[in-house]
Amino acid sequence: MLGMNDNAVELNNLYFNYPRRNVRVLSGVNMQAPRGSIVALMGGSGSGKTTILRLITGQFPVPEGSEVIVDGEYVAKLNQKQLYKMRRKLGMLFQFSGLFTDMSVADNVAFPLHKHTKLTMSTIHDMVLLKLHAVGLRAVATRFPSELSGGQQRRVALARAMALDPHILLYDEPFSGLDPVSRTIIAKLIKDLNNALGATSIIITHDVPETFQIADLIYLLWQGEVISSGTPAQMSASQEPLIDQFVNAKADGPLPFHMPGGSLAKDLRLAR
Amino acid sequence: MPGNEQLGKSRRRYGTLARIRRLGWPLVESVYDIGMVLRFSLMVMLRIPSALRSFSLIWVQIFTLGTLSLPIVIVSGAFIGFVLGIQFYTILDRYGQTQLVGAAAALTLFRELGPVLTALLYIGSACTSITAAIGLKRASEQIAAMEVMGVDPIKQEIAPRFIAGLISLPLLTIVMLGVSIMGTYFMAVIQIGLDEGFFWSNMQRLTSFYGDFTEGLFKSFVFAIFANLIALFQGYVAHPTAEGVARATTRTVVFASLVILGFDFIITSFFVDN
Repeated sequence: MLGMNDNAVELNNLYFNYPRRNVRVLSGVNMQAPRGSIVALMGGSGSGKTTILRLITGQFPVPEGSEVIVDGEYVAKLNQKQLYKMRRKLGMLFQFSGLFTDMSVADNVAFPLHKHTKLTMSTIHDMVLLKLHAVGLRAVATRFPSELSGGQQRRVALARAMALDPHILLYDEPFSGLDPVSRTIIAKLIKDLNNALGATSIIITHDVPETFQIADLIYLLWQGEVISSGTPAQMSASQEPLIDQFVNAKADGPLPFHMPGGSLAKDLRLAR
Repeated sequence: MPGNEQLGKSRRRYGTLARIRRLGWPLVESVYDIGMVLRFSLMVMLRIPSALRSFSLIWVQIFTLGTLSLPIVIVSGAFIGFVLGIQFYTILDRYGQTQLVGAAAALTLFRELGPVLTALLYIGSACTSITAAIGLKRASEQIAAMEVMGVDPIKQEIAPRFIAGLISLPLLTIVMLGVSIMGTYFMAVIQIGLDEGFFWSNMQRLTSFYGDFTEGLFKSFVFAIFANLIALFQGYVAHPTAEGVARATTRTVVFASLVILGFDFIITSFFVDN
């Protein structure tokens, strides 16, 4: 029964082509994110990871024949108003933080609270400080995002994403462009927040070490298809050449370096 | 295999069918773009009532779009006034009608130069900033962040700017008119030495508030609708890269200027006919 199962997010037979470009991005992806778990969607650049996130949040329309079910609701069947209502259950951390540059750090975190609650200003003020304290950045509440480092911006964005205590947290490349210490801090925060909020987290990433430390379930994507899934232990132990290459970051293996295309000889007009 | 699919497509680029398709494609694209513009405009219009409820957002934008455009409007207005004073004096002196300098300058300013030049200056100073701000907000995922938070970006970011633009441009036009009339006065009366009484009395006698001044203000309001919508739309659909925002800003200036000059002709023809 819908809504009765234990999946916070479920993708069934998900296909996607970018409109006007007619390039296939996803080819029949099936994925389940059980409630309370941390699920990682891993894969190289251009494997369709971010597209999946955008389909979960309803930023892209769900194609016919595909199903995206978020917290028991079919995203394709929601109208604009219902979609905005559904999104309030989600918290999302963007790859480039997505912080509002014309607002202070505190105002950024307060923004969803102002928009979606009727709390008093003083309550919101206290909540913002607590959220910022949780990510260790209470001291920068009055600064603007441009005055923070990349890692700090990511943490502020995390505080904003969890402002409304969401059921589902989505992370788009949370570790990219960060130094090793910041990566470890973000990974720990994701794990702690997931446990504290009792939420479900979906992480889009290609950083293997941090993800394997915190994820409960891993889906490996390649060119729009799920080529493998399992727990970090199963993935690490796998002898499957594809998984072995990805997990151990090997240059040689079945995952091709070149994007598929015509032969080089043909492009150089050396062969017909 | 996706690779084969793409290769197949590249082959199809050279067939007869592909040539026919290429002929039709610009038409399909144009219809798609017109549809996008109309849909966007409708969405903005529908959000106006709810955006009016949070006037603080509009207030900030009135400062950004209107107040920050004041210096260029005031300085340009003064110079336009000076030039009109000299030109009308030189022209009317040939016919011995220099007492009409004030009236001629006022009529030109109220009906044409005031609204059109202010709109062009507004496009250069405010519309470009609208496109760049919205385009960069999109490129840095701020618009996407709002959408995912369940906050409508049209209501939060677009509609307040549109309303602020509708308020700012007519006000800037009034400022421009006042400053340029004073510029003409300075040149014609103080510098050249024309009679002050003739200057003001002929201006008062030959210009009308409801005919000339309101025509200019009406034009300014229509220009504000189109200039702001174009700027907002270009920012909203800008490709989220530095080049994308740069091109969108250029498109804003080109399209908005052309649309304004076109509508100026249409509105002028309408008023003259009536």
